[in-house]
Amino acid sequence: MTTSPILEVRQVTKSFGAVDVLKGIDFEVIPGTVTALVGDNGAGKSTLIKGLAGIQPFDSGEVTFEGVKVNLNEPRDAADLGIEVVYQDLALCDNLDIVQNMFLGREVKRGIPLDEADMESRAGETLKSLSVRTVKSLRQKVSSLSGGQRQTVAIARAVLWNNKVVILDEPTAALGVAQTEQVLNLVRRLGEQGLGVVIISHNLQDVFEVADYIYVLYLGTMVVRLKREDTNPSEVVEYITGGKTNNAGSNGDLV
Amino acid sequence: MNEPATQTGALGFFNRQGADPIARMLGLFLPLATILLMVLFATQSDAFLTLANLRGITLQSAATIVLAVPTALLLMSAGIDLSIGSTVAVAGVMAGIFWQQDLIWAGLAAGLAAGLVIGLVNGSLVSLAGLNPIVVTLGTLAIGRGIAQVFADNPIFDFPEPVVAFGAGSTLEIPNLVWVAIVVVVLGMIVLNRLPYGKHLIAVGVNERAAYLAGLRVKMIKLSLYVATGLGAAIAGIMLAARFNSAPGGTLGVGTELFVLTAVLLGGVPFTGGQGAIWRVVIGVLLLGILRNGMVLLNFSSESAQIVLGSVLIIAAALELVRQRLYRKQ
Repeated sequence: MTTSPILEVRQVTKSFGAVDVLKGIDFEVIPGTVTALVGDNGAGKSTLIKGLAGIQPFDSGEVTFEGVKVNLNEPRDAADLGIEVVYQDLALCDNLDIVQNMFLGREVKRGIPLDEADMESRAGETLKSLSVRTVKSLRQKVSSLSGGQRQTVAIARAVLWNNKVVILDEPTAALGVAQTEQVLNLVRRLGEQGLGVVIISHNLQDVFEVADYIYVLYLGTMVVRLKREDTNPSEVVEYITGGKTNNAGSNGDLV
Repeated sequence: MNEPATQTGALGFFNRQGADPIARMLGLFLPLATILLMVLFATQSDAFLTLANLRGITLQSAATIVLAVPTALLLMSAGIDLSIGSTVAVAGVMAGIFWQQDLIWAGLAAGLAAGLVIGLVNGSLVSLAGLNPIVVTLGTLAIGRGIAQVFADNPIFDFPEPVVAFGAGSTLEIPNLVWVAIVVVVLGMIVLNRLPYGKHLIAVGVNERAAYLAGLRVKMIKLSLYVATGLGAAIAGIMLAARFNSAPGGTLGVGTELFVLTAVLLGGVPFTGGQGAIWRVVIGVLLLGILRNGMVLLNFSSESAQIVLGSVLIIAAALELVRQRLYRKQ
């Protein structure tokens, strides 16, 4: 893959009081690929994502999007660029239906009023393009959906907007086997559609099933970037647990 | 895909959210209770079912409806405003002071400005500073009443002829004040059902974090709802002052918050926010108006009427709880 990265993070840091959670991280996302971000609890994965989502701005460092330096100070900034985060708890509004959730904050209007017909057909098309056929009605309230269906809605919402980068935080953590498979298929399809996909997961089996690149975070430092075909789960585990560092002669790039 | 226009119905009158049978049955409770109450009063008092009396009920309910619509929207976003009764008084008094000087438009502007300022104060303290809305608006409830009484030191009454004519008059056989209420109701329905803002305020009420993460300007939405409620209270205060041809700072709008919040809760908007329909709220106000009117006709003392009103608030809250429990069981 020789495409240039769509999202580039250079030397970002973040501290909470005396604790340095991110100690100068480099990270990049290439369009059309799936990048996995792994690391133990407390390694800084969530902090990195929150920075990219604009929830918790970085202290220092640089983020470039499509080659342009950008500031991410609130979720709106990220959304405007086309970076969409699918959170672990999905951040859906239970009392609203599927269409309303998918279009929340970016409703389609016909002049001044809402264009419900257009939103409904676009929501339907998007779900279809992701080969989702399990929902009965688009006007179902989200609270009536199963875990996998909710995950699907959250992901479809991310796709609907021609977002360029989709970040998924533990998308399969709460799902059963069949649903996990469905969601992983969905993730792969996002990559095939040309998006830059980032997936955070504790489950290395999932990671090896979908990821093209694997980044390992260890205690606030990006230890290594690996290509999936050049590595194996046990090597990744060694990096995650700090048993192996870059100097030990790895297959990965030094980052 | 289904044709969404048919599902939504005219201005969301038939809301699709009541699609399951139990919710639909409970949705019918309010209209049925209203009709039952009307039958009860009609059999007990000959005066109840007269055109003049029914007209009186709608006229009395007009200002309450104007206030209940923005209050309902605020509650749907999980906010609350207890200061509305005092805002009614401050706005009425401010308008009255200018009206006494024959300055009709200045009075109108002063009344609205009062509501705007109180709404901005409430909204900034709650949404920007992050204070608890009950505490803040309980404070402004007391402050507002005090201000109204200071400015109404001398009795404020005897307004210019156009003001009195508007307050007491009718257009096309419908009282002017009822026209104002109709306009506010239609506006409320459009905002809630037809504009993105309506979906946004519901989203804030259901899951504030999700709304924020979706890129909504949550703080601005909350602030704007407090301002809208302040303005609604101001319009109600101006309407009442015009109708009474006086603005008694000590009594104008006293207890309005209890009445309006009861009506809104009866109208199916839970204090936890996240759902509701304007037409139900209107029926809630009318139901309470009928109850109040019937109690007067049946010679209830104002003390016992007070007890009934308080009980209805609690019953409304209980009904809402039952509805939610049943809904969750599905």
